[in-house]
Amino acid sequence: MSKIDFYSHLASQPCRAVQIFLKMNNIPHEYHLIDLPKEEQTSEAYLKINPFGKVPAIKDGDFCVIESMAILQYLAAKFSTPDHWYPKDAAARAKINEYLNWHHSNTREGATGVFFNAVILPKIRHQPRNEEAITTAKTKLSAALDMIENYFLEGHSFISSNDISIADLFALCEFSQIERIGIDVGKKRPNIKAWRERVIAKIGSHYDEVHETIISFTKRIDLSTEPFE
Amino acid sequence: MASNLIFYYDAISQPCRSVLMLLNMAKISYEGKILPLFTGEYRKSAELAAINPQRYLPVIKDSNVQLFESDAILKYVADQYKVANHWYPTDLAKRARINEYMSWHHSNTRQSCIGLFRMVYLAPKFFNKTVDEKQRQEALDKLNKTADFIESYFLKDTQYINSDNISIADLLAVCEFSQLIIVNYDVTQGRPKTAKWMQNIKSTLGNVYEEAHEIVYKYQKEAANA
Repeated sequence: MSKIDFYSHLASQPCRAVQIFLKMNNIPHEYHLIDLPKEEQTSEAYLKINPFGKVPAIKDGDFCVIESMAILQYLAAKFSTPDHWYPKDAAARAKINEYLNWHHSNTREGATGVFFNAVILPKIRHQPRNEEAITTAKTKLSAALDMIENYFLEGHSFISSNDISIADLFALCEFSQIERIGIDVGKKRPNIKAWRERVIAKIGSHYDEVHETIISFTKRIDLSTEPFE
Repeated sequence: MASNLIFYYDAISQPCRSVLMLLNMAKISYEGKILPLFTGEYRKSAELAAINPQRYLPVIKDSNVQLFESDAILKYVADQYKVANHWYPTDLAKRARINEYMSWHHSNTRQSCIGLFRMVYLAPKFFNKTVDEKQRQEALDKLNKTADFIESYFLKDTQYINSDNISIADLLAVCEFSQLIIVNYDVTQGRPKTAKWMQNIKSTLGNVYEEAHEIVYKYQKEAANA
């Protein structure tokens, strides 16, 4: 079977989710670094692969897929990965889809909103901090964490399931991003704390490998802990 | 096959209309429970809160599962109730194309459309907020960017979104755009593929589209006469 071309930069949360999945399932792939700091994602060459100009993207032969969730849904089916990643049972799958779709406007919007406004804007783009945007994002993040704590993990060891799925990878990678500014999502939420440890244990050595980029990227910037309850 | 499908909705909600139209087009039997959004009555529903603690519509319940998130509901109904294949193709590559749009939809079509709608309609109507012109223009710019991408990428070579046949992706997208007629905004202006696409959808869905949109037309008339 030929390799999947994987276009990525591991400072990106969804890229990390895809990379972890590829590694854990031993899916043969060719890694293509898209240099985000140099804006390679808007280069003519990359726009031919993803006209939307974002990472990640994959190419399976001539077939391109954009959007990290669509990518993992495709790879799970194509490579017949173990069922727990994206269960075939309609009801079980529906509950994973429920989280995946909720993730965009909740976990991702909150966590990425905080990271963008507290790190990217002031420290990379050297623009003033937008305190209103940060407060809004923190409120969103807090509400999202409460929902994960009390609903998605209630009675389950993983998100809406008793085994790891792609839903857990997406959530985990948003949280590992804000961990760089000292936000500990498990601090006041015991279900999340235990879940996070479980997911990282399942991922094993791949976790640290995949996070090398974001760790060295954030070490180079002067980052202070962002207050968050 | 699961049975006893209960569908909680209000047709003024864009994602509710998407699910409503799939259920009706696929002739799936269900019990519909309308929970009015504009009056705030939906908040009193214990059944809704039991399925979705955040109390967003739509939600469904059948003998197998209880579920929120319209995207997840559409996919579940398509697979579980064995609707015609074009709604959510089982072919790997075709399904990936539909999933691609549906994933992109949240932070793009949905966010930009509801963002504008909330700002120019819901906030003034329900919270007496005035519209900030700069913010309105930003929201419009975001919406235009989204609509431009649908025109140039998702409808590039196909009659429907990433497909030659109507699917659940189209149901999600069309309801966000159709909502904007209430605030007199027409995304098809200057977008010939999008205009043709909307026409195709209305023609394919026929009465199902019209009935689902009765409430939208009602509010559009009300807004025009205000």
